[in-house]
Amino acid sequence: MNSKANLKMFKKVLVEKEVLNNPNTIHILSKLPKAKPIIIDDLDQYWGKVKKPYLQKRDNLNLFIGKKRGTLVKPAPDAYGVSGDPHYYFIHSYNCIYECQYCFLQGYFHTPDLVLYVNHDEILKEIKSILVEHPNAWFHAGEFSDSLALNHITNEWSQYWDFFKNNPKAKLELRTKSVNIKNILPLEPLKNVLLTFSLSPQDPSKEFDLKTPSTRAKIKAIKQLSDAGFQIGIHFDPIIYSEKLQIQYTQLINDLLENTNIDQINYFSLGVVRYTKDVYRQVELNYPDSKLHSHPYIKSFDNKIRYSRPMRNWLLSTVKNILLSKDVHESRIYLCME
Amino acid sequence: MKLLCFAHRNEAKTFFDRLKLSPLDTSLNLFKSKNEFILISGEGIQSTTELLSIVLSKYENISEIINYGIAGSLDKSLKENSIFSIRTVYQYFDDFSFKSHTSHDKQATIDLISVHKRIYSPEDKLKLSIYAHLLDMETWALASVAKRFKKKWKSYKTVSDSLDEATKCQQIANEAKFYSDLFWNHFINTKEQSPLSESSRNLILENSSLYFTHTQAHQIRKYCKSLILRDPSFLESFTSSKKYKSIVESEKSRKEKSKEVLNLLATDYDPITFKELQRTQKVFKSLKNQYLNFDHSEYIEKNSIKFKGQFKSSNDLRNIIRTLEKINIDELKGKSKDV
Ligand code: SF4
Repeated sequence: MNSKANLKMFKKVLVEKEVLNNPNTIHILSKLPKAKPIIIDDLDQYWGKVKKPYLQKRDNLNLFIGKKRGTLVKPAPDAYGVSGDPHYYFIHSYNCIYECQYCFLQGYFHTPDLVLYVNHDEILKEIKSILVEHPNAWFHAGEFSDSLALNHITNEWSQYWDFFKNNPKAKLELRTKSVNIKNILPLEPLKNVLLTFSLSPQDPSKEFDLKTPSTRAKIKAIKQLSDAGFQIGIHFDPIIYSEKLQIQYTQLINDLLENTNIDQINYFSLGVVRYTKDVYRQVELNYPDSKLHSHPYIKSFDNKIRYSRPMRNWLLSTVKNILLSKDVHESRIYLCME
Repeated sequence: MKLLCFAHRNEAKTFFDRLKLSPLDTSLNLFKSKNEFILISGEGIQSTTELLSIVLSKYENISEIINYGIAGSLDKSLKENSIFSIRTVYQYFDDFSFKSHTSHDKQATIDLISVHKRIYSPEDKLKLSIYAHLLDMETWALASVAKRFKKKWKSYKTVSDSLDEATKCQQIANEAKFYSDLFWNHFINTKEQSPLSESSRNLILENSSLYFTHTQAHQIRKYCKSLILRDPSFLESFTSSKKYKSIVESEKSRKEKSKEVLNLLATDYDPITFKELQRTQKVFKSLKNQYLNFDHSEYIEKNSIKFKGQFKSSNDLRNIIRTLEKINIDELKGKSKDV
C-alpha cells in the first residue's frame, strides 16, 4: 500500500497535542506525508462526540492519533481464547478500515472514525505488572480493531517483540483479517507470539467481508509466516450458514493445510455468527439486503441474536468433523460457545 | 404532498414565479400550489423549529420535506454553484451535539453542520470541518422536526463562500434570481415520478387452492423474504417444483394443503431446525396423556423440558412418574446437544 492510498483513506488526520512528539506519532505521520494534521487538545472532545453513521467510513473516515487513558489492559471475557490461563486484552486502536457486514463495531461505537493510540510504552508497563501475578497470561490485541490492517503505517508490534522475548511464558495474540505482514516477517519468530487469522471460505468472505483481502491472499500470508517459523492460530469465526457449507469448509481447510506447516497452527477456534441486539439492528440498517438475513435467527438464552441451537451445533460439528478428518488433533480445536 | 422549505423568500423567488402559489397562512409564511406547500421558515434553528412544527402538526398530508438553501463551505474542494444533496446533518451549539440526522437520499455524500451563530474564525471552521463539508443555520432543526413527525426529508444546498459569511444576506438579495433558478432547475429535473408501488405479489398466497390464516400468511411472507434473499428466483422455482405442485393438486382440503406447503417452505428456510422441531414434537406428543402435557416451544433453544401435570391420586402420580422416566434425555437432545 503506498502513501497515496493511505492519505486517500483518511479524510482528516487529528493528533492530540500531548502525543505530537511521541516517536510513534512521528512515525505514523511520516507515512502520511500529504496529511495536514489538525492538532487537538483532547481526543474525547471530538471522537465519538457526534453520532456519525457507520457507513460514512466509506468516504468520510477520519484518523485520530492519541493517548489511551484509564485501564490499558483489561481481563478478557470468560469464553475468550484458549482455556486454562488467564486472558487479557489491550486497546491500541479503535475501529477498522475493513467492512465486514456482521462486525460488532457498527453497533458498538457511535462513530466509525479510527483511533490509533501511541502510548505503547505504557501498555507494556501495564502488561508487565500483570505478569507479576500471572506469568502465563495471554494478551490479545484486536478486540476493537484489526491488529495488522494498518501495520504498514503504525509498525507498533516490533516494540512488543523484545518484551515477549524476555517474558517467554506470557503469550501475545495478534488477530487479523489482513495480509499486512511486511513488517512482521523481518522479526524473529517467537514461540509465545501468535499471529491469528480469521478465515472464511472464499464465497462467503467475498459476500460478507467487504474490503478485506481474499481468502487466497490470507492463506498465502499464513504460508509465508509459517514458512518463516511464526506461530499461527486460525479462527473459523463467524461461521455463517450456507447450503454449501460442507464443500466450502472442506475446500478451505484443504487449501490451508496444504499450504501450512500444521505443527505451527496452535489452534483452530470455531464460532457461529452472533450479535447483540444493538449490533443486529445496525446490521439490518446498514445492510438490509445482505444474505446474512436470509437465515433465521432467534433471540437466544443470553439475549444475543443467533441461529437456533440445533443449527449452531450442526455448523460447529460439521466444521469440527472436517478438521478431525484431516488429522487435526481434537485438543487443538476450540469451540466458541458464548 | 411535499413541503418545500426555504430559509429566505429570495431563495424561493423562481418557485413563486413558476408555481401558482396562493398564501395559505401568512402568519406562518406558508403557501400552496396544486402539488406542493412552500414554507419560508426564516433564519436560524429556533424559527425553523417553530414554524415547521406548527405546519407539520396542522397539515398531516405532508409526507416529505424538501429543503433548498445556501450554505457556507468548510471544504475547498466543493465547487460553487453546484447543488449538493445533504447526507448527515450535525449541530454545533457551543459544543458538538451528539444527535445527528441522516436524510432519505441514499445517494447523498455531503455532510452539513448547523450552527447557532455566524462563524467567522478559520479555527472554528477547521473544527467544524472535522465532521462536515458545509455549514448553515437551519437544516439540523428541519431534520430534527421531520424525525419527530416521522417525515422523510432531503436537503439540497449550494455553496456561497467566495464571499464573507457576513455579506451572505446581501449576496442572496443581489443574486436571488441566480440561486433561485439553480434550485428550481434542480427541483424540476429531480422531481420524482411517483414510483409504481413495487410488486408485492406472492405466488403462494395467491394460489386459490390454498387457504392461509393471517398468522400463516405472515409466516409465508417471512420465509419467502429470506429465501428470495438467498435466491432471487426462489418463488418461481418453488411454485414450479414437483413437491409443491403435488401438494397443491392433491385432493386434500385447502387447510391441509396449506399446512403442507408451509412445512415445505419451513424445510427450505431452516432444514436443520425444522427437522429437529418435528422430531422433538413427535416425542412429546407420544408422551402426552391425560395427566401430563408438554410445552415443547422452548425446548430446542433451552434444552429444558417444561410440562404441566395434574393428579388426584397416588395412582395418577405414579403414572406421571412412569411417563417421565420414559424420557431418554440424551436421545431427545439430538442436534440440540452441544458438540
Ligand atoms: S476485520 Fe474485524 S474489526 Fe475489521 S470490520 Fe472485519 S470484523 Fe470488524
